[in-house]
Amino acid sequence: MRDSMNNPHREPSPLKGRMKNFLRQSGMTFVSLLATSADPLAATAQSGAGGALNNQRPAVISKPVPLNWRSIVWPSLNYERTPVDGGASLYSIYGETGKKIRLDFLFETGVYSLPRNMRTNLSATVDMFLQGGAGSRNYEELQKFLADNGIQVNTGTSQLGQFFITVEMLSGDFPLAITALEDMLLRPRFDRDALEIWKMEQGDVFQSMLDGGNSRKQGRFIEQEAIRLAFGSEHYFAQSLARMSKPELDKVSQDKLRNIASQLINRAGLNVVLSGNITAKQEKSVLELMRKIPRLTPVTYTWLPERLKRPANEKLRMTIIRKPDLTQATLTLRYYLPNIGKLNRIERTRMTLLREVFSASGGVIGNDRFSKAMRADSGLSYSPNATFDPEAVEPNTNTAYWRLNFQSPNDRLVEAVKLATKTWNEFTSQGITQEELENARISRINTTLAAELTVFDKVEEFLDDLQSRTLPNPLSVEGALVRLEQEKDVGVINDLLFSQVKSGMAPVLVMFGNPTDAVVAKLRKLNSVEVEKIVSFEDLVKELVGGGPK
Amino acid sequence: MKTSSCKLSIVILAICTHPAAQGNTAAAKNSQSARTISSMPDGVTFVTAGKAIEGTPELYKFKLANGMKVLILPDNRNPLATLRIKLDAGSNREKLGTTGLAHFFEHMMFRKTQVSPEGHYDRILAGVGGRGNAGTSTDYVVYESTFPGPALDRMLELEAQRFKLLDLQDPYFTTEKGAVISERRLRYENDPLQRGQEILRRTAYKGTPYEWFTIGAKRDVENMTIEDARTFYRDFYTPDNAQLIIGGPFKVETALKKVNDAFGDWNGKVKNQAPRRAERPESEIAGKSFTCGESVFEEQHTITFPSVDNSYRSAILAQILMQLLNDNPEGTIQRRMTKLKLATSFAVFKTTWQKSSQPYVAWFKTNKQQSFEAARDFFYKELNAALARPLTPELKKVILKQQEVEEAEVAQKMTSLVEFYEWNEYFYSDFKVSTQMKKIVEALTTKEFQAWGKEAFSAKKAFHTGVTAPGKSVACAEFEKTAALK
Repeated sequence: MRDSMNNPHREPSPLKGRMKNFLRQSGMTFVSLLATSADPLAATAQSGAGGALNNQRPAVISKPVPLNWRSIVWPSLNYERTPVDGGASLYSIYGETGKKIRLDFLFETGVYSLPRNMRTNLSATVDMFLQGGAGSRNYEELQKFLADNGIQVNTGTSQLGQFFITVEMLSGDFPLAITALEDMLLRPRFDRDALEIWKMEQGDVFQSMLDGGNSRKQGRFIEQEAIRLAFGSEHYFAQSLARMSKPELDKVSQDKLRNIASQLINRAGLNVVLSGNITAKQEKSVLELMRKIPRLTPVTYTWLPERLKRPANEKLRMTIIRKPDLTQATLTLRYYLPNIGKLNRIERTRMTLLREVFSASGGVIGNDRFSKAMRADSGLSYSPNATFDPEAVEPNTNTAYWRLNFQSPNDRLVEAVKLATKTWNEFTSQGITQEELENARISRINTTLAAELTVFDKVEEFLDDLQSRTLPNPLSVEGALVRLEQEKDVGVINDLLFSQVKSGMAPVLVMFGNPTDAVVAKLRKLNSVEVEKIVSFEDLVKELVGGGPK
Repeated sequence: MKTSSCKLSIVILAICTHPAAQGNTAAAKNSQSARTISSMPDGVTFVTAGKAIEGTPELYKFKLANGMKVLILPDNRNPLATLRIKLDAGSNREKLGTTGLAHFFEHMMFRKTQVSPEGHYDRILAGVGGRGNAGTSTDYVVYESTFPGPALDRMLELEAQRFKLLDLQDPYFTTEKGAVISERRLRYENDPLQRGQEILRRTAYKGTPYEWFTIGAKRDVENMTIEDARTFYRDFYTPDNAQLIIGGPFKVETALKKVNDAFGDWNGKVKNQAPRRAERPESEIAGKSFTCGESVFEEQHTITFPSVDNSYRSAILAQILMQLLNDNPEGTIQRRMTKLKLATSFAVFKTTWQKSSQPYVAWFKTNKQQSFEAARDFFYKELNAALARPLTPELKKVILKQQEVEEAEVAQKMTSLVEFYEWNEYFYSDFKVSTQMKKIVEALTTKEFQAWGKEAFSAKKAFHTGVTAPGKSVACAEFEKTAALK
């Protein structure tokens, strides 16, 4: 299998959503959209009967053909907003088919409005709205009630730290779901015995991570060390693992949870999205519930993660985590860009195209520069993938980064590091070619037609907009397509890449593996690499068990 | 919305079923559908048509002259199409010495054909705006791609090329071997839990199709030859061993013609293998316990109850049992085990993704401080209690409700529907098998259920495998040298 499960950066189409039923609404036929008459493959198909395929070798690679998206009438996102006194809004998004209904409550309060040292307590609070019981039901009773009635509940924090709760159910079960939700929001119990079970479970999860037994667990440590290299050990994101440790869990208490909950459940700034096959009666009952939620003082961010303070254009600084039983290493090579500021829409489109050339769809399709170098041509790595993130320390928006992930056998580590950095250096020094740009642009445009979106997918996008405090763009599909289509000047795009690199980079490399001393010595000899830290996995674990760096 | 979250969902088995029994209605629809197929290519046979979920489009099933099974789901909800080709060419087709070949071969399918150069597949797929992947299991290999509907011709041709005219040669073969070895290291060699499981499997499943992991033994992968791969391709990549399903915005007749144009001239007959026993004889395995120690914090144990009952009914009954185990004022069985500090995770399921045998499994995760034996004893106590309870209408209602929710999920997306049908057709030879669900549940008596439960979950025939924390059992590296293997 070409690895996608291990690839956290599998991206949706840049155009994302809002396409459902445009086919039906536009009344158009798609058969002509990808005309392939100039394509040798089409000719092959026509002559294919009787084994004619044997007679053509090799086929000439044709250029991809863009779809004629302008002939499509792209529907706007269909939603209605109902304001609720006290600074709340209900958005109704109507799904024409299907039995399911989804209800999302997105509160304004969360990670960055509470004191930073309350993060572990906040995690507990978020989980315990469900697991702590609600109303007259303890967790076991609540769990049974929900399961028996086919109701799914999901609580969490958004990328921007806001608390949310999502409930999904069949339309006929809506009244049961709304009563359970009201209990969870307005009458959470945070039962003490349930909290103790939560702590026990979290402790097990933490302990399990400490064996570093698989790539997912190792990835947590790689992430921590990369952040430490770039931002320092005190950075908020560098302490994510430590916040799961026993000393931190011991600080979680029922009183603190109740205190946090009393701040989270606030009508000021509340956004609610009701979606699916919904009725006016259901909308009314949601509005009634929203009005019962207390209106408190509006909240704001009280702190945000630190920005990158290190000087840019340093050498590639490296940390090696050693674990003796590993026969290959997992590596992340990152180029932080602390000075590029917030990208505008045009720049984001250009970065999408650059990323597509360097690592198509984040590594899922294997013919881009990075996967060709690290896998197809060299056989070094099973799942090389790279991505560009314009907001590396979200919600801050000034620091972007490129992240290149790959694996390497122990005996080819120096070769792998050289090859990855060489591929990157060629990319950033020479840019992309006109042909690569055209192929990437057409591919991204065509991807629009390969999107499968239900009303609930639209809700996901809608919530992204809401949490960013922006309203959905009714022309988002056309807007994205136009922006893609106009990017025909490879010089302009390369200039953007070159100027970003010139603005300063902070490159870091983390290796989780078992390199020999001889390999480390060779890495140290590389001019571009500075091995800053070599740490045993065992020592990292000991540090974490104690609650993180002191 | 990117999130971090905790999720509570209904516990159900990995099987999709439907409460609405169709019976004669389905048969009537079949004949009606057959009449509505206006034209069929020569040699193509219409088999049946119908649906398993109300409110969704009908699926049409055909057979090409070369024996290839073709399923077509016309679905206009979105402009995309999806194409999945599943072959009975999983790792259970391999032999000792060439284990891992099925998976290795799957990798090679993305490289070069006799009519197209290296990298062609990915280039075309990216060009049309599609995505593709593949996966190999013990009992199948599947190739899937999703792309804009208008690219159907191109994608069918692209797929047909590699199924008919794959070109296995160096340097691509040797290079790809590096990627496979990397995958093996990533997923197995460097994961102590998987390392242990691999060793235990060689013992517990010795002589059966499940003796080795799909990834293959390290030495076999390293020594794989092009000739091995060519033989595998010739023997098992044949039309009569393949099932193709497509879904998307097209007419059935049009899609069928395109499929036949692309795959109709694919030749070959699957190689019949000497039958292997599906399971180890009860006399060899019953009551045995195989454990070894690895550097894990969380131990993993399974109690396997061998079964060659591959019926859909048995899967439903296993689902009912899990519901009975969960239906308790003190919480689900996992919750109860957590509260009693017996296990960190627990599930009971039927191995529906295997063809040769489909054992029932009780699966435990325990931490270093917990005792598997205590968790096991608790499970048996709860199992006996569950099997002593009557099947009430309320319980049946909950089972059917769970299925209704699952169906609503599946029905939302064409690609989900296609996967759902593919699975049921492949494992039950009936894409509408889920329509039997309601009838099975409603007709089931307590007595029948209890009789099934006592037979299916008989402790006498079960065996145990477990990867423990270091020191609690012989080290996995040493395990195969011990008497336990003999």
